[in-house]
Amino acid sequence: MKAKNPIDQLADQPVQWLSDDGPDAGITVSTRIRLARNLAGIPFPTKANTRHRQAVLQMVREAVAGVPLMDGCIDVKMSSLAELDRVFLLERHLISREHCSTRKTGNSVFVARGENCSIMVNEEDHLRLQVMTAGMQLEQLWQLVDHVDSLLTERLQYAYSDDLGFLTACPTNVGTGIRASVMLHLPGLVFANQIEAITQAVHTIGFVVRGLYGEGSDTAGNLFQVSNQSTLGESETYIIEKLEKIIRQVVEHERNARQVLLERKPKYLYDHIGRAYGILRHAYILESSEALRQLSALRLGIDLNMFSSIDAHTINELMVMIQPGHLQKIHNRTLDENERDIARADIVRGRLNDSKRQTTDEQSH
Amino acid sequence: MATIDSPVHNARECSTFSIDSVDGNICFVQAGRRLSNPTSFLARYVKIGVQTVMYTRKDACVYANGREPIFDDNPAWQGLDMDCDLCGDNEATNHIEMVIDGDKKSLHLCSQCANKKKINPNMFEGVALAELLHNFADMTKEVPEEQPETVPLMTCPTCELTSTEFQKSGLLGCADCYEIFKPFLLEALPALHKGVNHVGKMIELPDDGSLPAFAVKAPVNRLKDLQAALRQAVSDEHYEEAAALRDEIKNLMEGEPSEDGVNDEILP
Repeated sequence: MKAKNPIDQLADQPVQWLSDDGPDAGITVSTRIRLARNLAGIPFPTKANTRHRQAVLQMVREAVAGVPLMDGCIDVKMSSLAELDRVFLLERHLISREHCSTRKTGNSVFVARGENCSIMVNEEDHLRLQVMTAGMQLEQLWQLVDHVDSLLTERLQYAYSDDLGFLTACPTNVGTGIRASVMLHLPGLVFANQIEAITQAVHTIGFVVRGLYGEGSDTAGNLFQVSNQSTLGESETYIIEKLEKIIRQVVEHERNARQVLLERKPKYLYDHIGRAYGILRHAYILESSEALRQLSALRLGIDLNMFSSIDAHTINELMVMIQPGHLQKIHNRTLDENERDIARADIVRGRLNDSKRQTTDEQSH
Repeated sequence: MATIDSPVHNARECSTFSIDSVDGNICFVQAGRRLSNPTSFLARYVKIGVQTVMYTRKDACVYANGREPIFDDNPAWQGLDMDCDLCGDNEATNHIEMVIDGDKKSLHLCSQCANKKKINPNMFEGVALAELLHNFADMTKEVPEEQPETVPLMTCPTCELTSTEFQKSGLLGCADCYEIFKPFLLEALPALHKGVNHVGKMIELPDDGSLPAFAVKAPVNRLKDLQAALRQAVSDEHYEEAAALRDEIKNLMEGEPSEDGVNDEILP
């Protein structure tokens, strides 16, 4: 019998970093921290040859074995994965877009069983160590990634200097090598046309607002990531505290924007959300952008307590599952665009009807 | 110069203001006073003691009835058709007025120059506002055109990254590059970060600064060394040694990067 595809294990389980109960899990969707690290004495991946890359992978593999969190982790080379599986990992936020599109020797990823930790090997840097969780838990997440990082240093020697800290391929990451980011659902600010203003305000204090999949991606589903840019001259804890303050302010603005909408245009708002629910529950063909837009509206309705039978986790998960890679993984074959739109509508309808069946006391209005 | 002793949280939005059409200045009017036109302007102001800062942007204005704004026939904007104070080329669409210590100053910028000076509605938030108040006098100075970053021509001896490659990709090739490209980095890092010195998690390096046992010697140099030795051996007519060197070079060359993922197994 053919060995089970390791990616299938992931496809069979819910996205845990989206399903767990996180604090503040209304407007803040999830938190992620990544550390960029390189090994001493070996050229960075851009200048490394096959041997270097293989040596790095081997050393990281041995070091990962000493991290309890990574017990029984998935260990796959990008070159051994079909495109569908790579896209699946990307959609799951377990690898980057760059890592998804390269199949060089030594390009690899380690994924913890709970999907809360992944380590990309030979991406832009030798190691990209990432941890994720639901809601906003920056402090706890920093402690976790710091711990994993320290365990790795017991077996790996990093490229590091006292002056510049951890040395990275791109000078924009040098120092702490940290990027902490929080994903936020901000429909209120989008409706109120304040997103641009918030983005600029955040930018002036050295932080950045991006779309769902990082740099250059669009802001489908009103999901935004706020993260730090500077990595040198400030400690990890300082960066995290600052980010936390910014997030709290953005969340406050989002609450206000929602409140204003509720006070000034309640019927408009209810109509928007109600229509979204209607479409999602009854559509048989759903394009990706429409699905994200309507799911965002529905999620807003859930936050406003308009629905007792659906929770935000269901929406979070649907937002991941309706992506092309996931749909095709679920159907276990390549689907063309039209087939995907149908598959997408099926999944959404199915999940929402399940939720409806589970609770019979749905509000009648 | 005015000082600000507490974070400013009293930025307000006002919907009406008067236009001094003689001087082309924008001035505050009391809340509640209405212009004859059903026009609503996105204008923000903040008052700190006797100091005030006010900002409005022409393209952010809307009619109260939701119609598209037409600026040409809007009397409120007459007198504000002016060129940018900085570049003088474009029409000014951003208007700022400040009264600091009784001294009234105004600044009219086109959208490009406003962007360069980071003039936007968010400058009323604490830090940005403080910066604005302190730098207002300097605002009218021309921003120097961004010079293309120049890296002196150099090559890293360890990984052979050239300054041209670095400029193109923005990526360094190895840890030693940080030393080689230091002059450039010292200029670039302050703009990218909050400092030029590492603060945060530290790890201990081996006492003698030596590389760990597993460090791979950069083969590019090894290759060069071998090739030099080979040339020497040939010119010295030490053919046996030359043959051994040739084999070693051949072995080394076979370890070069492959893009196709073949030879993907870890070498012993």
